[in-house]
Amino acid sequence: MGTYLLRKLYLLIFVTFGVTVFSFSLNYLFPGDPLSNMTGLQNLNPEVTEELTKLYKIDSNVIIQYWAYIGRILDGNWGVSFITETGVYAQVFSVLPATIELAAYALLYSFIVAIPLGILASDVRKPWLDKPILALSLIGFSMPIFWFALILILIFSINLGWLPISGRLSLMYQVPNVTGFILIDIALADIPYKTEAYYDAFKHLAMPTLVLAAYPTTVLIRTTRQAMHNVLDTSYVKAAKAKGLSNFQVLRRHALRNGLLPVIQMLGTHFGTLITLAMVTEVIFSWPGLGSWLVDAIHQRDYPAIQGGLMVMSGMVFIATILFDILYMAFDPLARRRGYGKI
Amino acid sequence: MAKFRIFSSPTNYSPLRQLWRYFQRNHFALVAFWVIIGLILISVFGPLISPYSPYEQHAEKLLIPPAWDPEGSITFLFGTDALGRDILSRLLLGISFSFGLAIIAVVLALSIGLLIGTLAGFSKGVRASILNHVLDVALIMPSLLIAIVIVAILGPGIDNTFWAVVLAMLPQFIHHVRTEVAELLNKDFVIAYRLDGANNWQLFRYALLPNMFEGIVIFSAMAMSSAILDIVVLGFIGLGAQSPEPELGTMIADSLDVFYLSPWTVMLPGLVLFVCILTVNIVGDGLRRALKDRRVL
Repeated sequence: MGTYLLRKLYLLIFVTFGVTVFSFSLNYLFPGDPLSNMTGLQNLNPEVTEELTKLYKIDSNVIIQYWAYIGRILDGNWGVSFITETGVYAQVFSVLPATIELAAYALLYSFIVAIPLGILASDVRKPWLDKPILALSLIGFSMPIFWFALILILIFSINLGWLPISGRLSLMYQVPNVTGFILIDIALADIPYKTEAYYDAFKHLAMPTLVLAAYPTTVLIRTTRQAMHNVLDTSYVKAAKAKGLSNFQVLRRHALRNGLLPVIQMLGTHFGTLITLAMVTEVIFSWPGLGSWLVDAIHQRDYPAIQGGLMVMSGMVFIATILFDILYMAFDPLARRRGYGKI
Repeated sequence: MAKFRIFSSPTNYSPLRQLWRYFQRNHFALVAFWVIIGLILISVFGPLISPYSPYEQHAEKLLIPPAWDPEGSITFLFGTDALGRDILSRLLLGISFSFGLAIIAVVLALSIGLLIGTLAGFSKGVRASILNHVLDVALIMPSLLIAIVIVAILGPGIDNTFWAVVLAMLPQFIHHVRTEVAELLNKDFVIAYRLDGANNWQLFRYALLPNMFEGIVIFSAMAMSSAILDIVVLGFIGLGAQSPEPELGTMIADSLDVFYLSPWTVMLPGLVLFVCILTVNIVGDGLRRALKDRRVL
C-alpha cells in the first residue's frame, strides 16, 4: 500500500505540473497580448506595461516566467476578469460550491436508484426484469442530456407548473452566502422562514439533479449488474448458500461488499464526464456554478477567467480520480496485489 | 446456453466475419445497424432530397406545425421554425453535420491513433514511459472538456468543433491501440512470425492488424456515440456550429425562445438526435456482446 500511495503521489505531482504548464501556455495560445491575458488588464499605458513586465518576468525566458506564474497561483493572484474586472480567484471559488453541490446530489440520487435496480437486474431467477432495466439504461445513456432537460421542463414547468426553471432559490428568500452550499447556508442562516426556504431550494434542485443523475444512473446500473453477476458466480457465494444463508444474508454479507467494489472504480473513471455534464446542466437551468460561469467566460472571450476556470475544473477532476483510485485500492486487497494500478 | 458443443468443428472464418455472424443473432442490433446505414445514406444524399434549401426563409409561413397537426400543412412535413425555415430540410442537412461529421471524425482519429498507437506499442524504455504518463493525464480529462478547451483556443465554428472532437478522442484511440499492440507483441505467434524474419511493417500488416481489427471496430462504435454527443453539446452551448448552420444541437438552442409556443421545433431535432445516438449505442452494445460470445465458444 505504501509504494502504491507513493506512486499515486508521484502521479499527482506530474499531473499538477501538467495542468499548470497547460494553463500557463494558454496565455500564449489565446489570441491577444500574453501580458493582458495573464493580468486581465487591457489597454495598458507604457509605464504600467513596463512595471508589469518586470513583475511578471515577461522579458526573461519561459522557465522563469513559468516559475513566476506558479508563485502567483499560490498567492491567489490569478489576474482579473476582462468583463467584471474583479479577481478571478475569488470568483472561481465563489461559484465552485454550487457545482460540487449539484454533482454530489446527483451522485447520491443515482446511488439510491441504480444500485437496487442493478441488483434486481442481476437476479437470474427474475429474467423478465433484466431486459427492461437494461433497455431503460440504454435509453437513458443515449438521451442527449439537454434534450432530456427540455422535455422535463416542458412537462413539469410549462404544462404542470410544479417546478421552477432556473436558479437555486427564489428571490423572495434572502439567505446570506456563507459556505456557498445552499442547503448548508439555509441551515446556518438566521431567518424565520427556514422551512419555506428549504422547500423552495428542493424544488429548484429537483430537475437539475434528475437531469444530471441520468448518466451516472445508467452507467451505475450496468456496472452493478455486471459486478453482481460476477460475484454471484463465485464459489464463496455458492458455499455461503450451501451453508444455508438466506438470499438477503448472502447479499448483505458477501455479495454487496465485493460487488460494489467496481462501483468505486467506475466513479473514478466517470467523474470527469459527470463534471462536464454538470456544466451543460448548469447552462440549461441557469445554475450559478463553475460550468455556466466558464461557458459565459468563453462566450465573452474572457481569457484570464477561462484560464482559471479550466485549471480548477481539470484539477478537481484529476484529484477526484486519483482519490477514488486510492479508495478502491484501500478497499480491495486483490487489486493491490495486481500491481500497477492504472487510471 | 449449452456449455459444450457436441459437434465441434473448427471455424476458419476471419475474426471479423465470425463477429458478424454472432452479431446477426441479435435482431435488435441488426435493425439498429440498418438504421445506421440509412442515416449514413441520408448524411451523404440528404441535401439532394430535401424539399427546400435549409437556409431559405418563408417569411409568411412562420412556426407552422408539423403535417400531422390539424393546423399543419403537407407542404412543410415537419413544420417550420421561427424564421420560416423548413424543419425537414434542416434536419436532413443536420444529420450530415452531427452524424456524418462524427463518423469522419472517428475515422480520422482512428487512423492517426492507429499510427501513433502502433509506434508507441513498438517503443520501449524511457520513450514509452513518457508517453504513458502523458496519456494518463490526457485520459483522465473527459473528451468533452478537452473539446471545450480546444474550441476556447481556436474560437467557435463547425470546422473548429470537428478538429476539437478529433483531438479530444485521439488519446483514447492511441491508448487502446497501444495496449493491444503491446499485448499482442508478447504472443507466441507474433514472436514466431518475427523469428521467421518479418520486418516491423509485415508484422503490423499480417500479424497485428487482423487481430486488432475487431477490437478497433467495437471501440470505434463506442467512440462514435461520444463524438456525436460532443459535437451536439458544443453546438448547444453555443461553442460549436454557429447559428444559421442546421447542426442539430444548434437548431435546438436556436429554437429555445419559441419552445413554449411551438415545442416541435425542439422536439423533432432532439428525436432525430436521440435515434442517432441510440442506434449507435445499440450497435456498439451488440458488437460487444458478439465479441464476448465469440470468445466464450
